Amino acid sequence: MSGPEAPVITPADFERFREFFHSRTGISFTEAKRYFVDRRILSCIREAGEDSFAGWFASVRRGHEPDLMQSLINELTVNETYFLREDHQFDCLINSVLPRIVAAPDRATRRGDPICVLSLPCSTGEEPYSIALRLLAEWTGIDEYDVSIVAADIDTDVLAAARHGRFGMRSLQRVPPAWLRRYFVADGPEHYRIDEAIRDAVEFKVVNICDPHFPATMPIFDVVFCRNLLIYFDEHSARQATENLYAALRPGGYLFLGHSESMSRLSGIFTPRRFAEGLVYQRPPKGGSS
Amino acid sequence: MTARVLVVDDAATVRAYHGSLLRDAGFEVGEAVNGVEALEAALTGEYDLYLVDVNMPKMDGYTCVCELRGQPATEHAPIVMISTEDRQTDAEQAYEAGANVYLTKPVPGPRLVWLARMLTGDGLRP
Amino acid sequence: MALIKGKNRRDSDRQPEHPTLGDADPTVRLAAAHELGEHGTGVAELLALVPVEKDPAVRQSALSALAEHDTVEIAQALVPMLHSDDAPLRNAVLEALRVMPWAVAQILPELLDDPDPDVRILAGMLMVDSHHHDTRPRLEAALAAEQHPNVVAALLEAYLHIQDAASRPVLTGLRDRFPDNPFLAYTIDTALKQSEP
Repeated sequence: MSGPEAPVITPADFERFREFFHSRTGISFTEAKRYFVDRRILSCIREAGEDSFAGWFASVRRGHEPDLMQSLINELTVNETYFLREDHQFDCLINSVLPRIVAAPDRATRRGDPICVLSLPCSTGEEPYSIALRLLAEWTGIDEYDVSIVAADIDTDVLAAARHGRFGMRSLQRVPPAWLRRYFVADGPEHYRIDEAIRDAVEFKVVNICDPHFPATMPIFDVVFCRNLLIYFDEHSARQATENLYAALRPGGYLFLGHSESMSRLSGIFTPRRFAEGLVYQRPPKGGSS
Repeated sequence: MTARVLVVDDAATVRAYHGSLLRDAGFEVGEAVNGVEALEAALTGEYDLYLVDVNMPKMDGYTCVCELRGQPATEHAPIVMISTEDRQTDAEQAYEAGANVYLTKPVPGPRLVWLARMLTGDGLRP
Repeated sequence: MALIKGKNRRDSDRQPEHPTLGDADPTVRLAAAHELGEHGTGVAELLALVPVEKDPAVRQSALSALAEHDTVEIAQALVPMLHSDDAPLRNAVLEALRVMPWAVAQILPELLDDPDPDVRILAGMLMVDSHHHDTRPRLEAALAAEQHPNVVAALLEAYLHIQDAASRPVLTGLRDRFPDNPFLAYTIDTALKQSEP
């Protein structure tokens, strides 16, 4: 019979949980995050109708109820973002990366194929929609080349929000008023919803970047944005994730990390490239450098 | 103008030691923990000399030096490779990769400083 | 509008089907290594590929597929590659051993005892940032016995990551054993100063 007190999570419990969560998602928590994680776990335990950590954890581990794991992941992944964040990287995409992609020798044999861009983690959609807006508004090549944007995240709640495409002013603070008028529709006080045509043009997928199967479920990308995600991963998971990103990229394709992140803790398989707007990483092209 | 040296070594103790020798000799010293960080540093900053260790995580020294030689900005930069290994094949690989000099550890401090001065255009002043 | 959704993509633009490790195309070999890693199979083929594979990404993925097993057998199969003249190969193998913590903990004593000082140096590199409970006693024992200055340097690098006030006698003993080594003198004096109360 359960008592009125909240379930207790002992240090040993926390350790076991930490190892388990890390092995499933690649995400690590430091001791400093203990309070935050505890509260989120308690919330999951309550939601699942359990009255102890042990009971709930056993259910999660057993894996018979995938919703339990998904809820857990949703609670523990942090998703604060806004439109046009680290905007100079979108400058880089338009001014330096896309021109090189369309000029690459192998593109001639794939005329008519879209340029594929991955945004992972896409969170509530600000990043993939930012890419879409910058391309539509500013890339001269958009009339000549098709672009296919895939937006991926491990968290199904944020993906649902991203598909829905409704945003508040905090998220939209950097969007020029002209774009708000042109590409959004007012949707309630202080909120806008992005045009249906743009929402429909983005493909949303649930993805675990550490899953070795992940590249096989994806098209081959010309550009990947993977910003401020790998910093949470430890050596082993960061290695897996980096290899997966490499495999998901076309030879000669480009990877953007967060602008304060570096490949140096991750892997040497990518080549750092410097453009006017900053550092990007390239999967080596077939047969030598371009 | 003060010459800038990039010390590339995964061992913090080695970076500290070589860095201290070079700073005492009047050089400005930057540090990189492996070949990847070295390439990133080379792309975003200007160095007059690269000291590159051989055995490093993520990207070893030879691969790093090859990549440096492949970039226009560092094609002709002075590069010294430093290694714990004393095989003939290692020296050959170093020169094949494009290093100017190959040294084995431990490198005597005065020798390192003299070499750094020579390679950064300080002439043959003792 | 030229933003299009997935269903308009050609299906040919996906990963190679039925990839093999022997393919001439590194992209295909990469997909093969990935698949073997996913299924945990092909250990013998992967071990055969690693020493001869020149594409860094294929080699890394092959090693990752092997490292997933974290067994002593596979670690012992990889160790001979640490003797190779091929430095990128040596480093790639070391990186793989870094993500095989359990297996490495089992074989570390024999690596620390290897007659080749270069292998003992690599053992020291493997012990950097190791959280294994035996790391400290192993490092202290190795430091006490080691004669080769470059091996001592590598072991010291690992040791300084975990040193505390109780390390003083180890460090002063080391400095006394190598009086003519300016690198060790500088490093140990700096460490002792930093740990002063």
